[in-house]
Amino acid sequence: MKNINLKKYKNFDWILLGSAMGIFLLGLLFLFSSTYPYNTDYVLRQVTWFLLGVLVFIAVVNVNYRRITGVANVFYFLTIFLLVAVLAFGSRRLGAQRWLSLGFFNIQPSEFGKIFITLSLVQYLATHKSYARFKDMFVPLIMIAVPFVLIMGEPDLGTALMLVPILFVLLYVWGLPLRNLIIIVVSGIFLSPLGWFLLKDYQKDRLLVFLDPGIDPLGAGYTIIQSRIAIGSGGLFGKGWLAGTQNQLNFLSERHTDFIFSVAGEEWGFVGGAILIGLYYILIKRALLIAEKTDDPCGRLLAVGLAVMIGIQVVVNLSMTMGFMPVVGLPLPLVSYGGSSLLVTMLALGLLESIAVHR
Amino acid sequence: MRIKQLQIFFIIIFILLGVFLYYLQIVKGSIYRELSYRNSIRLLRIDAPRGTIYDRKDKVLADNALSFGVFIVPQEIRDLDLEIKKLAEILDLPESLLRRNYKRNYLAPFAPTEVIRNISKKKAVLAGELKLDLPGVLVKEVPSRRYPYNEATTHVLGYIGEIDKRELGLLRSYGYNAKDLIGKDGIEKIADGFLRGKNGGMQIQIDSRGRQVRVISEKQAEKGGDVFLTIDGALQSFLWKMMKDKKGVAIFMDPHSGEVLSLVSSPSYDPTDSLAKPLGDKDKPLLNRAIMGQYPPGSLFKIIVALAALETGKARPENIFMCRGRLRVGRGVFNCWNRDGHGPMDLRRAIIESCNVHFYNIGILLGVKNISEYAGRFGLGKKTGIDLLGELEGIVPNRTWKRVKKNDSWYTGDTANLSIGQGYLLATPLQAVRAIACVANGGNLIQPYILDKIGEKRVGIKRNKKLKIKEQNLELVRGAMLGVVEHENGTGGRAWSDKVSICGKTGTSQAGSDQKTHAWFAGFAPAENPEIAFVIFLEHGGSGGDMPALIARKAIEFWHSKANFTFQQR
Repeated sequence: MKNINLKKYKNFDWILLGSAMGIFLLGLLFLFSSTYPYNTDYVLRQVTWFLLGVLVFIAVVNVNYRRITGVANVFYFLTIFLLVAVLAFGSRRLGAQRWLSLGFFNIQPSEFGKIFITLSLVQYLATHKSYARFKDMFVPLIMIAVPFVLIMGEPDLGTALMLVPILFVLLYVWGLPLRNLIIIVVSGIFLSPLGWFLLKDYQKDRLLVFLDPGIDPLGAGYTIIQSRIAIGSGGLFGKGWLAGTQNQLNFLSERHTDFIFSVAGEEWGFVGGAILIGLYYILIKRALLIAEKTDDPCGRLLAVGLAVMIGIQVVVNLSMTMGFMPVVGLPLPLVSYGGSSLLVTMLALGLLESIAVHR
Repeated sequence: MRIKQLQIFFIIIFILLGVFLYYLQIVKGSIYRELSYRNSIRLLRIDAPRGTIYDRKDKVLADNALSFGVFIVPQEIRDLDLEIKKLAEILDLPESLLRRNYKRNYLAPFAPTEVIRNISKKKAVLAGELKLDLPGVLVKEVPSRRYPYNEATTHVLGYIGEIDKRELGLLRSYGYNAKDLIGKDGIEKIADGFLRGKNGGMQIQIDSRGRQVRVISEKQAEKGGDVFLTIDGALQSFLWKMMKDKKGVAIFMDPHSGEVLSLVSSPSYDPTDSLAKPLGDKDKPLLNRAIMGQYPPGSLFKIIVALAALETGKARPENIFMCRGRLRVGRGVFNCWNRDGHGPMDLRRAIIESCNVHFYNIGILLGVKNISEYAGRFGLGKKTGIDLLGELEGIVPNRTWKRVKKNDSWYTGDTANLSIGQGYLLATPLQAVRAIACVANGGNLIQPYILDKIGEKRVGIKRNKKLKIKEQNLELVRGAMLGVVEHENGTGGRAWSDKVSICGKTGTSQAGSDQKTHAWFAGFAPAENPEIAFVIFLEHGGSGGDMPALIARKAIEFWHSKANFTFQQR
């Protein structure tokens, strides 16, 4: 690293990195509390994954993002391969087959799929500019449809659905006429009832339970109800770190992963929750700012895609934790316990900084 | 341009997130805080020990004994069915009973759930050893109500049981709760508010599986207050032993104050046992005959008729009526118990020998109005007001009564019947002894009572009513009553004692045409300075001069031997 040209980094977005680090550090506090008192293991692992993520981040920042998007197709087919492999050999956890065992640790290919598919989608859109024609939409649609079905098959509804807003936003920013976009959306809405039959029973339950958590207060509705109670009972300043009764007395399920915000809300209150939301907003805002400042269509689209990827995850996760959206399994970026998600987010941050640095 | 729109989109979305959060935590915060509190806090009741009931000499009539109960702690058991099966085997009890109790008493996973109580120490030890094999089984000492005199005192003390729906509806505002034990009858019920004490409680924090995390706060239970009765345990138990194989009543009371020393009604029942058996018994052990049994008083009533005649001047002591064994009244013939006839009888002799013919005569002279009026004055036909539940009034008939109830006129024959305590006249044994006490104490209608002190506070009611009966008339009757026992022709000779001078009056009353007569013996002792009044009543017990007189003598001698009062030696 002796030949690093410091001038090259004058556009490095410190605010983006700073807000991300702030979120991660807050997240460690939440994780510590949600796994208390058996937490050392979780916190250590999370920190280990984070350090790994930092390495990825540094590496990616130093590489021009165009060289990465250039080989996006390789990532795309690698993703498809891994997704098929997961369906074939993956290990089951909590009724879903999402993980591939790689010796010492497990990875979740669908998590990586999100970013790799975004990369290849961006690469395709950046190299095809005749977007006025209707048929130009077909390739992107197919590119999304294949992994979508594979991820749904695991089943991992949350991640699969994540692909949809990414696709639409990219098409939109790409410049697809609004008319075409509307046609896709409307036909999608008409087809969505068919999707009901593709859903697993527990997913249907979750949707029904969202409409009325009282249906099954001890079963599928339990998570939502208890999570709402936890957050609501936090009040303005929260019950204090390690002092949330909902959390410490085990009323919250999945509280170190997808539902970690319920712990944050209970113990840190409105003040803590608002700070976290604010930090996320800054993160997304800075990512979109990078897109705005970038003239290169590829970098621009990539920055938008990554901002949407992170942003939608945050919005969906927080809304479902607060009970304003059906439960779909999505982690809270940088906060939820889980190596794959953390690594992918760090990779996305690296790419964003790379765009900022190399535009 | 389109990126700008995207930015605006995200601004709106994030503001919405903030609003959601605000709504949940600030607007609805207090509701959710309450919910989270309820999630994790459970209340566990600590039962307050019930107060003790003492007799007049501070001997225990009811208290709390420690008995053994077997509990299961739900959160610690592995296999409920197996545990209950093994427990049932060891305790030699039906599995279904244990399972039913467990279900009924289940409260929370951390709360020891009672499956059986009041088991013997031997079984408790056996079950205790099981603890090693079966986790979660607990043998604990549990407080249970203990009645040292058992059946002997049931009709006075009552019993306790779990509060029922109706009682709960009435008493909830007085701090009673479901599953509370509550006095169901007798003193246990009357003094329940004082005896029951204040239940304590524990606030327990639990986790999502209902397991106890820690005790947040604990409020000790307060023991209930003690209650002191006028009952003498020893006499009560002595009388019970004499009465328990018979049907009837024995009441002893202080004729001056109205303190009830003993009140036995037989048959009785075990206050700690289920009521199912006594409920189905044709001898009606649940019936407190002393206050709920209404019987014709028979010749006991002659005391009142005699006093009425003397007081109204309708008869004079020296008036003599000839008894030929029967008397023609109107178109009917009324018999004396002595079919051969008593011969010439004055009032004193008529009481001593219980001559019916004499009383037919003075009864007819008195008329139904006077008789029923004096019966009322002596407390018949209305409740005595004793502090027990379910007391009945008895019946004192008169012309109006007969017109209303029987739609018939009053005949002279009815008066004749009434004069010897037969016919429509009904009295409870308690009313009978109260009337007799009136004779003994110089004409005071006293109110009998049992509850003497609640804690330190004296509650015995002494609402005596002076009847203004001339002392010389009372003296004459008292003398005649002594004669009943001591005169060679007295009907109560069996009550004669070489230790105490006893005054009495026998009564043998018709109890339906084909049934054995009711037998009464009531009186007071000692004759010179009465210290106790008593009634012994045997339902279908034959002749009052037989068993009742005998029982009375034995009980008085027992009382005398205990030197309870400054009994005058003969």
